[in-house]
Amino acid sequence: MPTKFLHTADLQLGLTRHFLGSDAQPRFAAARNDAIRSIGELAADEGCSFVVACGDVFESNHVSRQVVVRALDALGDVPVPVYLLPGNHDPLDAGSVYRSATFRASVPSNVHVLESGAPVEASPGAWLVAAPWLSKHPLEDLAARSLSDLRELLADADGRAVGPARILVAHGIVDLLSPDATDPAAILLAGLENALGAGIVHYVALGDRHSVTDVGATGRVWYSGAPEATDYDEVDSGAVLVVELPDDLHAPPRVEPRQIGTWRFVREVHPLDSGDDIARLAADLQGRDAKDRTVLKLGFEGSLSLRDKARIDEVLESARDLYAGVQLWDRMTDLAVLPEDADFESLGLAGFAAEALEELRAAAERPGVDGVTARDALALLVRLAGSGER
Amino acid sequence: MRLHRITLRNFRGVVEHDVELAEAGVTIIEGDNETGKSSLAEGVDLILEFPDSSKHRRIKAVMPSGADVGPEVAIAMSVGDCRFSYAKRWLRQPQTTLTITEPAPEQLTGTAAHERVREILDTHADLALWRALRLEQGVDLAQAGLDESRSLMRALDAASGSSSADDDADDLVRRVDDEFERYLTSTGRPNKELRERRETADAARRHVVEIEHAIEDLDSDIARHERLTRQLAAYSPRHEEQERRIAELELAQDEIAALESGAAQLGEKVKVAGLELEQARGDVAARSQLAKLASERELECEALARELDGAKRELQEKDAERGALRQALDTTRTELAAAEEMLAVAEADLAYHNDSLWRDTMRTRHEAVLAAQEQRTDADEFLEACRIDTDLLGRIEDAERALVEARAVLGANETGVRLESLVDQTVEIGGSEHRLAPGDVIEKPVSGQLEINLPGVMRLLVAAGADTRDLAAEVAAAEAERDRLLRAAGAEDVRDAREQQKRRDSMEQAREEAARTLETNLRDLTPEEMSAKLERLNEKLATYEAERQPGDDLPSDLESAEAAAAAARDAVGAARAALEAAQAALDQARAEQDASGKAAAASEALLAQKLLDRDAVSSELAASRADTADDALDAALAVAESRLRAAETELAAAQSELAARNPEATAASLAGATSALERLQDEQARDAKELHQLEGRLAAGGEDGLYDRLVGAQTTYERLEAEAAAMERRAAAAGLLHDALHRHRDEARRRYRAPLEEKIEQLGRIVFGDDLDVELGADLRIARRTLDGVTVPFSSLSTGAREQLCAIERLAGAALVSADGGAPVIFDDALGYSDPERLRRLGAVISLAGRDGQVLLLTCNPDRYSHVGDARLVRLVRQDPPPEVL
Repeated sequence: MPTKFLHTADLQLGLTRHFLGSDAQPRFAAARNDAIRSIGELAADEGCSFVVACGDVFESNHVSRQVVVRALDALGDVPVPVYLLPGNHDPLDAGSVYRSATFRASVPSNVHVLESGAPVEASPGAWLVAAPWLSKHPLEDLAARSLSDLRELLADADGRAVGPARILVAHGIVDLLSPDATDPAAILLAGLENALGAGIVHYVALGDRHSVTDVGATGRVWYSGAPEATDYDEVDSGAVLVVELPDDLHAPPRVEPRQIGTWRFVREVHPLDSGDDIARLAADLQGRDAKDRTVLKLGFEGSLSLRDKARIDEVLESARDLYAGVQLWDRMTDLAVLPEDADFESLGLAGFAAEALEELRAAAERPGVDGVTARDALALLVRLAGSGER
Repeated sequence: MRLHRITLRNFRGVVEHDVELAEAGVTIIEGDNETGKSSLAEGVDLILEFPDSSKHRRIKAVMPSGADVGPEVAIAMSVGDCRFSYAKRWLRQPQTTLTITEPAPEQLTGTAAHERVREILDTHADLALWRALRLEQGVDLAQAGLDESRSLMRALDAASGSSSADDDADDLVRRVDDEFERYLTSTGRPNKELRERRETADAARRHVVEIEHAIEDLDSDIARHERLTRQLAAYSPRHEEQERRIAELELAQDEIAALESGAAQLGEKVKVAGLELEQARGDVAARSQLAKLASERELECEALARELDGAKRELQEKDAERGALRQALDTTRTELAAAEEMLAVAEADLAYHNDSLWRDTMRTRHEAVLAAQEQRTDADEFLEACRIDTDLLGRIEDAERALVEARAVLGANETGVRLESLVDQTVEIGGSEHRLAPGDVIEKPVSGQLEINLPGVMRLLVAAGADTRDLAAEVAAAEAERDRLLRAAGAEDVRDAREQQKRRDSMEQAREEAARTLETNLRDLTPEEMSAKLERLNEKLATYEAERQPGDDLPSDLESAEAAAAAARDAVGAARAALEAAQAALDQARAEQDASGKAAAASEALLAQKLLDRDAVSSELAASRADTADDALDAALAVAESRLRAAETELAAAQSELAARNPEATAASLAGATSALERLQDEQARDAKELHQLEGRLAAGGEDGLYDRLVGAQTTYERLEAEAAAMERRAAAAGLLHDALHRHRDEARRRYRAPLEEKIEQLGRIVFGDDLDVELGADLRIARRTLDGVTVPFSSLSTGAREQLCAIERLAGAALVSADGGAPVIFDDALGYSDPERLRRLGAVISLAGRDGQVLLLTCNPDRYSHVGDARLVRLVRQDPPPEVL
């Protein structure tokens, strides 16, 4: 019988996003619990024998009791065994959430923590070999360590006690993808592929990267990605993997990503040079789906008059009401608000007021804080003088 | 804005006034008090401001008393390009009519009319100027609020070359000020709310940091936990290692213990062999000792026997010696007795000579005593007889001197007689006969009478004068006195008296001398005792001489007696010393004899003892030898020595083996290993304890939900920080705008000042002279006036000067804005403080101002404005209320 299971990771339960509105925040938190339930439903639908979550199930070891209790409640509803691997966010250290009284008191019988490299038979003939994080900053390739132990075990037991299918469950960045070449904890892809080639393991379930990623060329090393989006920089999150290892373990596994995520983090830069651009952006933002589960980070390029700036502010204000969150992408924003004559003509300022206006307009051209303050002062002048119109 | 006509009806006390004003120039409205002059201006104010429906207190105030009719005002005026008539009645049957004639005819009533007029005014008129240009008597002499006037500002603006000031600028400034005050204090610092926002945000940030620290603490606990766990795991192999080492060392130590006990046994064996050797040596030594003792005893006895013989001989010698010494002692004693006898004789002789010497002395003293006694008796006898003394002698000498003096006086005065004999003859002078040879001269004084008889020849009687007689009497008295004294002294004359005194002195001296001699020689004796003593001495000496044995010669003198006595004493001393020496020698001999006797006895006894001893030792030696021969003893000694050497060799071998094992090092290593194990156990226990504590802390801390709290705190902080930053940004903007606006306004006002100043000075110089300078403040009011080089603040000027300047200022302001329509200048009963000359000059100014705009002079005293040239004069009279209704 082929081994079929569900591969997920990085649920990051308890994750909060402070830039979310006070109404969106609880929904965002609830969505992560909902993801667990979706996983349960999917596992049942697909006939998966078990679920393996490859690390960072919890956002932190210090999450509140409520987060733990709710997560365990949802996990308990999953109809198959669930194996949780401690990752870098929730390492199995002395302060680990997995060792907390709350967790131990509430953990349902189908939920197991992969506490060591000792192989665990997750379903008949399918064994999990875990590389749990025992501290926040390991100084070695944990996967390599577990593989090496397994090699010895196999040499001793002649492979009969462990197998035939073996799945390495690990968490961390693979050296191929790591931006930090000196990271001692990076998982060496060569080691994984070597073990795969030697038939030590048949699939490597990885966590840590939030986007679905097929690593290397074997088709057996996968990041499942986070089941629910957590940040803007995720390319392909919101999925879980349904993995099927055929009876003939030499044959390639079938790995199918399934979208279950409902939230999106979107990061965009818009050109803004005219009223038309503003109108276009307003329409665009208005027309999108699932706005209440979309978090936007918007950057702007271009230059606007004070009046147009006021309009874009209104558009953003309205978007804030609609969307789960709207942030300004300061780093990617290059928006010059240049007061134009038109801004002031209708004010009909004369005399000393006109002179003050001219002075501020000159100051508004200055770089840095002085210019910003001067532009603010100009906007204020426009507002106050405008409100004084008869 | 120009007023052409003002009509009041039922307005306060006014029944009706209808005043037509000069189109341009000056209108003087003259009337007594309470004729309603001031009401004209007030009427214009009310009609322009209040709709006919108004029940404002100012409207009610102008309701005529005692008539149930509403006050009415009608005006004809031009504002901008509009010219219109405007009438209003309030309170009773309110009504408003407006008839615009220019630019296009238009007729309105009611609210529409009111609003239309407001619109026209707002667009073209400057009501602030209208109010500012009024100068009223009885109201404080305030300067015109020209800075409120838009048209003046525009005019000033135009004059200063700037663009036109906006009507709304002041509104704008107010709004900016309001905005500024929302965030900042008047000094531009953050106000309470802004500060609190900032503080709240900072507090939130601190809270985040606190939670971060708590998480860091927790993390460090976790790290520590991990380290401890690893450390504890490492203890076990270290334990085993240590225990194994201890076991090895203990084994080595057991072996060493066995070696040590073997060595100890060998040591014991050596000790025993040593003791045996000692025993054998002792036996040999005892034997030789005993033999030696026996021979010693023999020798000793022989020596003692010899000694005893000697002692006995010596004792006999001592006996003989003692007898000889006793005889010698007796001889010496006899010699001493003889010497002592001789000494007695010598001492008696010496005493004799001493007594003899004493008697001689005594005798000499006795003789001196006798002589002195005699001398004293003589002196005493003389002195007894002598009558003169020092005192008496003195008196005698005084009397003699007195006599000599008297005589001298008499001599000087008395008559003298000089007789010179020419032949030998006898002459009787004063009863005495003188024999005279030729050439002899006799001179005689004559004090009384002197009778000179040349016997046979003549008797010559010479008598002295009466004076001479007195003097002579004095001489006689002195003489008698002297003689009396001489008699008392028993002296013949003065010289004798002196002699006698001398003798008396020597006798007294002799008596004292005799007394001294007696005292010296008698000492404690009476002369009788002395005699007796001398007598006894003589007897004693005679007796000794008689008794002295004739055999021996009595020494001739004291010295030889003394020498003899000394010799005798020496002889006695020598004899006595010899006796003592003999006695001592005898005593010595006796003692020696006794000692020798005792020594001999002791020797004898000792010898007897030694002989017993000798016999005992000899028998012991014989017995011992009979038991073991001397040879046997020597052989046993040799055996014991070789046995000991063997045992010692064995022991040395065992000890060197033991030393090779280094027992101290082994013991030290074992102690070290044991304490290291204990330390290891302690460390392990400590680590285990700490681990336990950490677990407790982690269990507590891990359940704290720190992550959620951190996120919550961060969220709060970011919100508060954003709010605070936004508010600070708004505050900065408001501050900047506020600053820019105010700065430019102040600057603008400074610029505006110049034309107004110029105009005021231009008009003012007419009144005050060419030296006038005025300085305006930012509010366009006159701050200082300079006249003839003296600068005085406006408020310090005299009332008159202030009034004049207020008038000039208004006229100047009006002149500046006249091109723009301006407003009429109204002086209501003003210039009451000005002197006639100033009034005259002001008149000229008013005339000048009237060329450009309307000037309305309300006065009860038309003379004040008699110098105003071309003016329309309107006279108002007090009216009784007529029942007229519009």
